[in-house]
Amino acid sequence: MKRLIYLFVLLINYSVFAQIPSVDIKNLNGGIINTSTFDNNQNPIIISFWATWCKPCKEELENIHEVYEDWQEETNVKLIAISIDDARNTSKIKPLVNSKGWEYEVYHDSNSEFATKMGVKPIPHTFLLNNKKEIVWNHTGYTEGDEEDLYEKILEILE
Amino acid sequence: MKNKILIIICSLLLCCDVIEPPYNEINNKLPAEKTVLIEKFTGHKCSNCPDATRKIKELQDLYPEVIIPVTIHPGGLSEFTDTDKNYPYDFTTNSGDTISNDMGAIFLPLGTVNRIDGGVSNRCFTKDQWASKIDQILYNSEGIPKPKEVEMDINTYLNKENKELTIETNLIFFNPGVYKLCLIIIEDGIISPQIDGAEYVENYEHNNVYRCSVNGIYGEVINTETGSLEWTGTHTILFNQDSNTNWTDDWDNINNCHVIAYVYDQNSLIIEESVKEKVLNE
Amino acid sequence: MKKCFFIIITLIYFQIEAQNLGNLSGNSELNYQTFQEDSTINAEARNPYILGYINLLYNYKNLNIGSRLELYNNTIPGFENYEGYGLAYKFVQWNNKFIDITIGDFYEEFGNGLILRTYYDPNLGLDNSINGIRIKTTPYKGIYLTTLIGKQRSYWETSNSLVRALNTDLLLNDIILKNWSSYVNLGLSFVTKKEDDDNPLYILPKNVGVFNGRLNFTKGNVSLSLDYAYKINDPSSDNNYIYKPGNGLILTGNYSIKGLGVSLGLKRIENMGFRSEREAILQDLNINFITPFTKQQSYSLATIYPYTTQPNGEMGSQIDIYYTIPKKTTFGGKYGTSINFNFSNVYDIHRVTVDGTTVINQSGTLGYNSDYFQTGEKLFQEINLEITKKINKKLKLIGSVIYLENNDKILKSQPLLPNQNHEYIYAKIAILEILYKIKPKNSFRVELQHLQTKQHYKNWVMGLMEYKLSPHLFWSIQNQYNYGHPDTPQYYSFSTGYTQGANRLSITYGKQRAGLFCVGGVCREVPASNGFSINLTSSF
Repeated sequence: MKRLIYLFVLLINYSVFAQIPSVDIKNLNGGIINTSTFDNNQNPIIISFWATWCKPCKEELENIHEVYEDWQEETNVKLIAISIDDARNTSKIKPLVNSKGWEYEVYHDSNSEFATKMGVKPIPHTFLLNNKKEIVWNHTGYTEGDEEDLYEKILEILE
Repeated sequence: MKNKILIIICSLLLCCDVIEPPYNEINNKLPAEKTVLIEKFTGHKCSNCPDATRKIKELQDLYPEVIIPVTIHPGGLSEFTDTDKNYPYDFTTNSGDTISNDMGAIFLPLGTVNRIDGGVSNRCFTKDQWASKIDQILYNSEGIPKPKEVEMDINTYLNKENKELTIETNLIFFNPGVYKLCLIIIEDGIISPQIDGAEYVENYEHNNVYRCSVNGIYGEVINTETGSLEWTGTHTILFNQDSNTNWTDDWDNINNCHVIAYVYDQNSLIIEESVKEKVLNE
Repeated sequence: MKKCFFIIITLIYFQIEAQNLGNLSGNSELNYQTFQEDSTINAEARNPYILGYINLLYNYKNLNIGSRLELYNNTIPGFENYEGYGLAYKFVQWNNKFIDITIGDFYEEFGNGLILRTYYDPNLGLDNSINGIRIKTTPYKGIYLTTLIGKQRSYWETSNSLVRALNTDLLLNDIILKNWSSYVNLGLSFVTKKEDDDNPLYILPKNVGVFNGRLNFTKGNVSLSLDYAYKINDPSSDNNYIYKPGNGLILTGNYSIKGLGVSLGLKRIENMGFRSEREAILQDLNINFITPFTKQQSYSLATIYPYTTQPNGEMGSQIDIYYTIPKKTTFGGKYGTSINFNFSNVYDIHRVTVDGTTVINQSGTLGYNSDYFQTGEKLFQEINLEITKKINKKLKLIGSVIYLENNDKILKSQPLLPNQNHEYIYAKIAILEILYKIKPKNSFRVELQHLQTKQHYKNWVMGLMEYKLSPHLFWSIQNQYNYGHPDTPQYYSFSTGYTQGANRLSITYGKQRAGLFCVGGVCREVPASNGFSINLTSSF
């Protein structure tokens, strides 16, 4: 029991510069896509895990949507939004995304296979990948203003 | 690779056992020698419980004269057993509540099967598990009936004036050990409402209802390790409100009462044999 | 042994990082809950409950090795069989572009999970992973094959039955319809389970097979999806040992353009409980996952009367409309206004007795006959309307009204007061959420909810205030006041939390109401409690 806590505390402080795992997930046309094909021409990538029922997740994506055009102009960043909804909400993802006018690449990880390999818990959980597709930053939870921190990080890695 | 996949597909497609009616198995085994006591935990407001009673009837048809049911209504699960204007009869007893708790009756319907352990909750099994457990108790893996551990015989004498029952119990053990003997009274033919699925049955016949114990909730110790393998004992009990609150002066159902005696191993708490006898022998 | 294991892992971790020999990642969670006695809410005292797990994943080129240690101490009711600790999950996986082999425990979903879905939800105490071998290949572009064989996890053991399965997904656009502007995808799956028959009453099928066919079609703004399943006779505890085959049909469609999205669904499920063992009950050993159709609620009073999935029979429909009133219009205002409308209902299927039986679902018979298109009793209905409006840079309002009907008379899932019976519940819920950004990085949130019903525990009112200091801290206080209940209980609690990167600690002190905790239509009863709850999650 004590060992468990010791291990938690020890490992908490280390972040990993790793490649994202290669997992088959669904796209919104009922097809399959592998996560190793995520690409942005050596520009930064944001991977954000969300769900249609998660309010902070939708807030985060909505707030980034408002500044997304500016971000793209300045940094060429691409945001890939991965929904971890289960089959219950499969048919609602595309309508929700389109009604809000979000222009992200949206995929569906219905059995949380990709989310588990990425250590996602709880959502929203957002990752930032550099030009070599390595994970350089990640954060769980969302409060108004967190997207500004994310943007600063993007600017940092571009230097 | 392609061939391997084809083989897997074919083996999967062959795996479908569609059963044609009749669906009931025929019991080809020799008649059983042991008996099985089932303590069925139920409640008059429990809509799935009459299914458990029907299951016991099915099992009694499959194994004639083997199964002895006892019905206990746990007061602890008051949602199913408490009384109100639609369900006025109180079937609960303090000793019944103790047994329900100890056996692990956390939902209804559940039942003990000779109080063997390993059930879904302590010693309780769901009604669908009773059949295979009974089979394992009665027969060994080759289908040969397992022999009795104890020969039990009880004689009852009722004094109709003061409603005092005298029970003489004779036991012959085949193996020495430390056992316990417990005597209880059950009552048949209590007419009172019961919910059955979606249907409210006003005049449902409740049978095998646990009323009280004669020699303590869990009985008395019989040690056959030193001395004789035979044992005889006499007990008495009065059919009055001290024994069960429903046995008022104008209660009139003594013809439908039975004594059940069961013997169990003191260490494993598993019931070896049980026997049932009418209170009134005419 | 276990102590050494931790030290070894820590050392390996640093070695690996230093020498670039692959990488080690994972996540962990620790839950600690205390229970004090509280007669006002019927809460019992209990020993403190600890639930913890660590997931470790090692990756080196094409090799993945994973494990999960779990710990359960002083389990709460429903989790008793988990008491203890151990290695609950372990696997070795090797994959390249063409083939992916996993040996050990794995999670898998075929299509929407209608005939096979194994997943892990620690809060629900659900882990039906399969322990065996799984092979995935992509022999040609657009053809995905998965085959697996194994036994399901049952607490700290595996079931005594065997699951074999095959799944094919065909992305026709990659195979034959290469230049079509529409997308067509087909799916075919087959799952069998093999279990011995030791039941002396009935002749039971040792091998039970389920088949599933799926079709997805997308053209432009429209998407249609069909999911059909058929199961041969599977007498089990779930269906009271009847021999009727099972079937399931789920039809969904959606249409969306910028600013508007509509989603529709129809489903009919009949006798589709499918478990590794016939006698399994509650959450144990489910092989499949029946798609729920009702809206996933997040506001607390909206989760009091959830619908619980009925695998033996349910039919229902669902419609969702998402619309954003454009900016700079009369109703849209400066920022636009979001509207979400949802309607869902569920009915029981139609059942009549079969020749030769007196009751429906009589054991050892075909069970019942059913008219496919006729409905039985209504089980659930809900209408949701939610409007989100940003007033100015600092203020955002979300208003929500819900009208719900829950036939608890048949579903029988709600806890009851003494002398109370299960009833058909009608409830109206009104919710207002106010989000106010005081200044950058400082936000304040208020939730006000009211539930009105004449049945069950009657009316509730709820208030919540939350203050968040980006990026690390939050504090909140809430009270759920059941003023319609004869005892007028109040469930108040205070929470605070700290987040650092991917690590989060939250501490809550207060009362929690008894009720149903549901994830995906799978529900667990939670008793009322009063005490501390500490939750620590971490990703590394």
